[in-house]
Amino acid sequence: MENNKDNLKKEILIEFKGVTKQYGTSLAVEDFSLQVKRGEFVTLLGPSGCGKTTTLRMLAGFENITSGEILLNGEDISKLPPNKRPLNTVFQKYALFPHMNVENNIAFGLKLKRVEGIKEKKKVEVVVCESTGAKQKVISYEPVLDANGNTIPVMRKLRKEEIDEKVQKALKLVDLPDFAKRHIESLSGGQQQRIAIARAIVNEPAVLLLDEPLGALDLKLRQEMQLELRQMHKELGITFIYVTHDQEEALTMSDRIVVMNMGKILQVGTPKQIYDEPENGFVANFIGESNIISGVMEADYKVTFAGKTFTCIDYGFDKNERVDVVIRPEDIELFVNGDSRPAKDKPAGDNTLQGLVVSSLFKGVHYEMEVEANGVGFLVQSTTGYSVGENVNLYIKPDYIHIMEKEKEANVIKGKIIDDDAILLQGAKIKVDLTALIENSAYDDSGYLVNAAGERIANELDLYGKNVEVTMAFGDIELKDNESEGDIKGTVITSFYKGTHYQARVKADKGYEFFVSTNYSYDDGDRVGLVLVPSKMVLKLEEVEKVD
Amino acid sequence: MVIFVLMPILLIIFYAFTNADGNFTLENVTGLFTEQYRRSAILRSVGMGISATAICLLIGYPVAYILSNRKYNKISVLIILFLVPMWVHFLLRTIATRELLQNFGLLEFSYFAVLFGLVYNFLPFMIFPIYSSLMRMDYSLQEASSDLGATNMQTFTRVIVPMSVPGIMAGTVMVLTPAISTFVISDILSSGRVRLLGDLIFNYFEGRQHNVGAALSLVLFMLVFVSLLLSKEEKTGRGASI
Repeated sequence: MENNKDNLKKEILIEFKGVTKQYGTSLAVEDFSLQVKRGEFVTLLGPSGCGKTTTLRMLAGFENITSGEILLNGEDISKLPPNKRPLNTVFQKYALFPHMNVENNIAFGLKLKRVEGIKEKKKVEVVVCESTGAKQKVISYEPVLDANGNTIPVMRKLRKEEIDEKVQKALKLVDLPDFAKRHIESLSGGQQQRIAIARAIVNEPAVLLLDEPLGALDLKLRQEMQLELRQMHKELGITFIYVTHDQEEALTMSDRIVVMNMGKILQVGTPKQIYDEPENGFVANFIGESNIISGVMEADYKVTFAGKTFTCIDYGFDKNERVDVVIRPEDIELFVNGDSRPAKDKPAGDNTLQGLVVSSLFKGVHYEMEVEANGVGFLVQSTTGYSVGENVNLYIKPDYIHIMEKEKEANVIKGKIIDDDAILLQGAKIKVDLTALIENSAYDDSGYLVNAAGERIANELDLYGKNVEVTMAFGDIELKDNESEGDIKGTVITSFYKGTHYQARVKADKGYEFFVSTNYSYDDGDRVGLVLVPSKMVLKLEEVEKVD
Repeated sequence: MVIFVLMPILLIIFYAFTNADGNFTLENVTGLFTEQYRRSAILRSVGMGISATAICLLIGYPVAYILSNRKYNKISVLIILFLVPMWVHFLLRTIATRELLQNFGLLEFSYFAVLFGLVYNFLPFMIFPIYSSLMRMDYSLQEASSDLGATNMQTFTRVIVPMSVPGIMAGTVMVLTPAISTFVISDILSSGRVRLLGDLIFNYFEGRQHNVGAALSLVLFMLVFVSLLLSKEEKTGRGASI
């Protein structure tokens, strides 16, 4: 058992532990934790500004980390300068030295390198070839011995012959064997890219970092390079950390993908996991096109959306929980009545919707169609095209229906009416305007709720004690540093930067978790007071079944 | 073009190889080497020019490097600080320099005074080309160098300096050319004791000895031409695209 654990530890080459990068008040990367195994190809994927490049640059050493640790082989490297880290980077715009030729660019790192060796003396002999009379220099190295006749260990430079050999090998690997003497300016973008890769891998780094290396290349060349990089990764066995915003590139090349947005990891998984089981709307949307439809979980394996209950493979949700249903456009099968569907599928009717083709576009390999069914628009990709206005059936296999927890859009809190103008919410009495709940009602001069005729109605309607549902947007709640200034007291659980403001999760002492947008950053565990603006509350009476 | 570029040069050549009567002669040119007075002025000019350029480079490079540092280059005040002296007319500046040196009792050392004046006047011409070549340099090259294992010093000598060679060359030409040909600075700061090529030319033309003056001008012309040629060579030789 113990041994197993040790082995597992050895497998892990890089470990990010709660790495955070802050520029001024904005968090570029927040609490980034990830383990990368030796020899793995890991891609950091996300839109621009998501923190992926910053993460890579922190690993390379170009950016200091604000807090956290970066371990390489179990040792913290986060304080080391870039030249002391056994990593090499392929830069976005190659960053080849324009004042050197290809050979010198590749040899740059090798010339600086010191390797363990013994003290040696260089010997140059001129040998005259007997048959042709041509003179040839023969270089040999002889060990220098100390007084006891032992060799002397030193850190020595690489010999010119060693460097030349490595450079040639690297050039061969990137398929440009005859380019040693060429000038950087004379190379095309694709060739520069290859030289940049050669310059990095020639140093045999523990990890190769690639920062959107194919971004500047045209599509065809990019696809070619993707395959080559993948091939190189297999041949060299070096760990690759790859940064890209191109989801297709990430899916093609990686062993594992880390999807990032706003400085945070949203999901880590194999390309298949990320594609098939996105954990949230962002990932689903970012990784290829998706239909994201609101639905309700009826029971385990049963979900209702677009007016029909479908069989799915997800379970463990609350009964009647509102969820998001993700369906990939290519996973919806279209057929018209009379078409024969493969026999392996369920009989017609199950998991099937009737719809109308609204638009249809031929995309070269497949048709992209918009089909409307029960008021919901579905994007469908299929090799069989149907024309606009045609009535079709949509069949979705249970495996292809992915259920995600719905992201919270507003705070919905249960409360109780305790007065004509007040409700009890999370243990606090909050003054509210109840006229919105009852038609033709108003407040009289003494503050009682009255009907159009001016009669008090609270008792008649049995208002006191009735449950209400209060909906409040994240921005309509104010946080007070002094908890006693708030209507409701609570503790900040998390707070993160959303690009323009912070979003804090505050757990009220009575249990409800509020989401609050604020301009200020709070630390986890801060005590705060929540002020609810009554005018911004949306009240709804909870339907109570009448018991006669 | 012909009138403003070729004609003056042809006229200089014509005057250099003729005497006061307009007859062909090599006297003016050979006189440059035989007459001690002229020869030493030429050598002095070249020597002073090269020394001033070297000192400008030694002071100017670190200054340009610091100014181009990402920490300081946002503060334009610093850059303006080096520009402001250039707004004062150089005659006024040189006269002020004389007063300053006099106060410190340094005006007695004529060579030093002239050299000081040259460096003070032409230093900005060295700083700005180097500064702009450093500013244009892609910062990722420095990151790449450090990524490949270079220390800051190694990055400086192997990447930054070679990449700023075009700036160094431009600065050198911009300092060397006026430093060789100046006459007012040396005149004012040495009270005529350090006679440079420019002073001589001025004197000969003043004294209506156009032919000797023209020959001296030809020397100056060749010197400037050679220094420009050298910088061209350097640029194309390195194949730098900046």
